[in-house]
Amino acid sequence: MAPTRAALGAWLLWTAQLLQALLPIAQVPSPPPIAVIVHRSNPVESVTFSELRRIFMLETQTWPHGRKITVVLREKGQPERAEAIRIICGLSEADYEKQILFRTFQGRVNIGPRSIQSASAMVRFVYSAPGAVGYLIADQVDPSVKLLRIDDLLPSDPRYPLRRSRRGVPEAER
Amino acid sequence: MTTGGVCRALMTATFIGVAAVQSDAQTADQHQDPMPADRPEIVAHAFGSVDWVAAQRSETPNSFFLGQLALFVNASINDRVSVLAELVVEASAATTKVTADLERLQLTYRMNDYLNISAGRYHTGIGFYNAAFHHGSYFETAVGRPRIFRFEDEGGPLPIHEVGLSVRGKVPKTDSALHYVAEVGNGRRWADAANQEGLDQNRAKSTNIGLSLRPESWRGAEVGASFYRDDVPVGTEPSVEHHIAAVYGVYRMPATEFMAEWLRLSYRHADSVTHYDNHGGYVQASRAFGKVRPYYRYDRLDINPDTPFIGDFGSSIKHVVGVRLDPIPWVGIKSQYERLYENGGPGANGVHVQLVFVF
Repeated sequence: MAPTRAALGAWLLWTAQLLQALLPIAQVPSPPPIAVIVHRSNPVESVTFSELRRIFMLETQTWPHGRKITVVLREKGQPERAEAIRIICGLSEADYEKQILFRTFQGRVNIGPRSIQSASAMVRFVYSAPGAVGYLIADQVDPSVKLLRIDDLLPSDPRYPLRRSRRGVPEAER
Repeated sequence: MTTGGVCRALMTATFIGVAAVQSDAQTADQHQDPMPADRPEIVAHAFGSVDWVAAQRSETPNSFFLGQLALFVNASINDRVSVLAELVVEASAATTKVTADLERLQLTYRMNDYLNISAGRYHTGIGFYNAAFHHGSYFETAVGRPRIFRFEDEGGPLPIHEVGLSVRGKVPKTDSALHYVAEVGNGRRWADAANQEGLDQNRAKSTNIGLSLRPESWRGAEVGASFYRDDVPVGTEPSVEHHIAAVYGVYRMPATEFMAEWLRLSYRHADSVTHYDNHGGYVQASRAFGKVRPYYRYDRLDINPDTPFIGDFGSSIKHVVGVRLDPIPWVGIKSQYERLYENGGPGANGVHVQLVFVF
């Protein structure tokens, strides 16, 4: 009995050490979060998550300095669009479209969000539109646009609210 | 065709033309990156419905009919100025004749989120329902508006539409939670309503003020109240003072909807102390399970028969139980059972099916 027990103990120890060694390889790194970008001349440095939601829902349509806000999203059907709408507004893409049309029909919205084909086109648009607000995956941001802090946090902060989950589902909805 | 008919036909053609242009523009946008615009931008949509109704009453056979076709255009002239128009076309089920009504036409100046000024024909901000759903049956969960919010030409007791000025926005320093609306208009025309120019019949203007609270911590919830007043001329007799007080509570999220409103309509001859008070309101709840949304509405109107102007509108209680199905985006099918009690009489059953769509 004693040799068998010892062999089992050794096997368990070996398995545990093997798992410990392999675990970092098995872990999938978190995808970079969503970064909100504005024109470089925009004096706004930070907005709260609630304010950001109101901006993307077109409930807030002017910046504090008076300029009209132009919301820019990726094109319909692109996963980046649905993901951003889900993380920022807490809605599915279809519900978001319906809500924007509803508000337009009420006369509360002039023009809905602009649709942009690619990340580079998003940067070009925000670069050329002083009132624009758009978004990118954080590692796509370049210096031609300004990164907006959310709740005073940058995307590199672990407490940053616009984090994407590994499966594309925002952590807040899990 | 009369001159008015020609004008209406031209307006309708213009709307349809604008819609076609917009449709082309949207298609083109899908293949190129839009850049900041320096020209007017137009959004155009149409909201339509096809209905089938059956009632227990023997004088009304079950029938198909066409609902309203609301042609909606919103043009942004620049960052701050826009024009909104809603033209409703109603067609006979038996012929191809149509009647067109300009339900909304507003020029709006948006100074900022705190001050939006509109001039033109608007839906009054009395309560919640009227300025939320307008003529877009697609957005309404149930078939038809609550009895109290029925349109004027369908026997509704409220001033649903008015011509005048409207100011609305957020109240500063309330974290975007508190909203206001203030309106000044001609008031509802109770006598000689078919008058072509439709100018106000007296110097007194109708006014309406409202406040609503939308707390950020409880998204989708809104509570509010409004107060409307007007002096309505009655020929050579003293005018009638007309007040409408409304309170409401609403919770609307994609999956869950709860709406409740109550209104008090008061009338008093200027030389009398006698008040005629009337009440109306509804409670509506629905819950979506995927594409299916069951709903219920309790709808009530209590009219004092001695009340000026609306005394013969009749009182009613209606229970509505239905299901809405949204099989594909922008198309919905509503089926509902209705139990209607009018003027204290026995209940009558009815069924109403409505196909709604947006394009």
